[in-house]
Amino acid sequence: MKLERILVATNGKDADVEAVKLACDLAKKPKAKVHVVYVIEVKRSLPLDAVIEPEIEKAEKVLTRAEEIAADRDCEVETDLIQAREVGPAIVDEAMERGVDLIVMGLTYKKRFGSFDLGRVIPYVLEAAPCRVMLCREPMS
Amino acid sequence: MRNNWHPKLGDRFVRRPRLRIFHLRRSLGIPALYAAGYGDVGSSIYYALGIVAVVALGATPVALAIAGIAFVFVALTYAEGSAMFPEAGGSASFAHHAFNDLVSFISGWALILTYIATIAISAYTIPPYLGHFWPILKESPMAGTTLSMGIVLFLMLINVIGIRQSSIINVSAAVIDLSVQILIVVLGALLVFNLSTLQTHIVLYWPSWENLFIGIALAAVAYTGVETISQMAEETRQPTRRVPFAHIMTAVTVLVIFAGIATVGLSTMSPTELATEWAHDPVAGIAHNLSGAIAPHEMAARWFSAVEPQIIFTWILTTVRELLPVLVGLLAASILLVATNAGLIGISRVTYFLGRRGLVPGVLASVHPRFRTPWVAIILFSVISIVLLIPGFFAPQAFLHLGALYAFGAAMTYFLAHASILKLRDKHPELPRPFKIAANLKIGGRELPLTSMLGMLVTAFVWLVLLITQTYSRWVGLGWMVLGLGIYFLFRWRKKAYSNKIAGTPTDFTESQR
Repeated sequence: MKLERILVATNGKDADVEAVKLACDLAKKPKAKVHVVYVIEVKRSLPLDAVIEPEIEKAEKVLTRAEEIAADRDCEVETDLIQAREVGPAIVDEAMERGVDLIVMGLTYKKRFGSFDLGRVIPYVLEAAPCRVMLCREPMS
Repeated sequence: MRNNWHPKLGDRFVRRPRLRIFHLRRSLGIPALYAAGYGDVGSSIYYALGIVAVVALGATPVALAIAGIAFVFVALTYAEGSAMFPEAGGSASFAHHAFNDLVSFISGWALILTYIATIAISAYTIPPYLGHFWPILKESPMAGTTLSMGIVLFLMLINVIGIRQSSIINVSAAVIDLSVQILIVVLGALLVFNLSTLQTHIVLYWPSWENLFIGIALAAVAYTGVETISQMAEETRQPTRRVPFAHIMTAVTVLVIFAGIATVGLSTMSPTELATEWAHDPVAGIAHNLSGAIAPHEMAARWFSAVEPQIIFTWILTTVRELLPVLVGLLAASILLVATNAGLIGISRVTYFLGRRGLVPGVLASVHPRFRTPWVAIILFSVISIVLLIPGFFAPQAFLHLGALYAFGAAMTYFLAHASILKLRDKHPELPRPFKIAANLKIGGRELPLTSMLGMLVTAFVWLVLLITQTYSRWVGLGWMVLGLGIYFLFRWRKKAYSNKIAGTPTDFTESQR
């Protein structure tokens, strides 16, 4: 499997940690580049470049944490903060623009109305991404 | 703002903004832009035809045509401006680059007025169209206006919460709207269009010169929504190419469809009928009369001699006859609901633009910490729209007043948009213009677009006509602008006073050492 670029999509949940770790481990041998992105979803009542301070602060914390994790694994990452109307298309588009070979996403174990729920973003990325997609589901406990 | 700085391992203290603008790839190409633009502009025919007919009577198609030409000028101006500055803010953004903060504020504040009027008028027109199913909504101003207010309240809530809005729904609504309007035009052309009847209606009911001018001014309400495409420029891929194209496509479609509907309107009923019984739901009136003109058996027998095609065609025509008024009633209400919502979204974006540039108090642009929406602007301007609807309970002219108020604000906004393009051609001819208006006059060594100059004249004329003849829009419109300027100057004065106070206080180490 050719691995030159890996994209990790984070969303501030605990599963991000596992996703970043996994991406760094996968990138080590082929010396692949790891990009970590956080997508802020902007509602339509705001312009796309609206400055939403609480969200930006949260995103900065998440990306900083990702950098720390990568540093612990001797992995250099490039982080990016994106604002978009919808997260799923933003991740797919980022992957296409950067020409990544793999998208890694963390998945929180969550049930909704009694059934395991993948949410809205992951099914979209699984369906639309042109490259491989790896999900890292956090443990049940 | 792309940041090329990469953090070194262990370097955690310096953080530069990582913000990168993202253009939504899939849904904002030309079709989505066109759908958004037409969905907004195309919805206004559902009330504009009635508003103009009340004043212009037989000259309604003429008034709409003249306003349509002015609309083309506006579309071209916006096409050039949006291609140069693909950002939210529309005419306020153009004015910001061409002139100064004050002019930008005036343009933005007038734009807010047009959005408020659009919200009120779109919501006000929904109950009459639903009157096909529940007649009380059309017959009772109390019931209709109450529902209108409820609609604005409902949309205010969902926009404050920020319920995700599917772009597929908006595109579908625009496509269905356009399809129904084309169907009306085609049916009208086939079934009822009669040139001599049309001529009779126009000539016999030709208004006075004053009413004609007022009708032309009010016809500006038919072209609400030209700002919508500009507002979406910043989230469009290749905006310099796609936004102007979407503007032009929308303008052409609107002109053709509106001309068709206006012609069909005056072919199916007299101007007085349009201006009275169907003033609030003119397209429903057209559908009603078109249905009445369909005689399935006679038409089928006339067009086909064989029995089988006659049976099929009779069935088709009977279905169309029964369904058309229902379809128009439902679709008009849906489209107007989408347009009301678009007005709310537009108003919040413009307010955010003005707030970001320090032209209005920041509280107006503040974002709700949980819902991440500009809740203050949404609530405030929704309440103002609801207040504007109050006369609907008791004043039969409320409809007209709202239209005049829209036209008042729109004339100011468009005037400043034209002026901004001319100023930019003069002040910054070197700026890249991915879309440049073709028809230019060379004046003083500068290429100035003819359409913008004519547009300025027309919008100035419209504004003056409204100022002189329409008492309601004169006082409410001027009052609104005076209020806005008061807020602007007070806010700027307090900001400057605060800045001066801070500047006099040592804040950094080197300063405090002196």
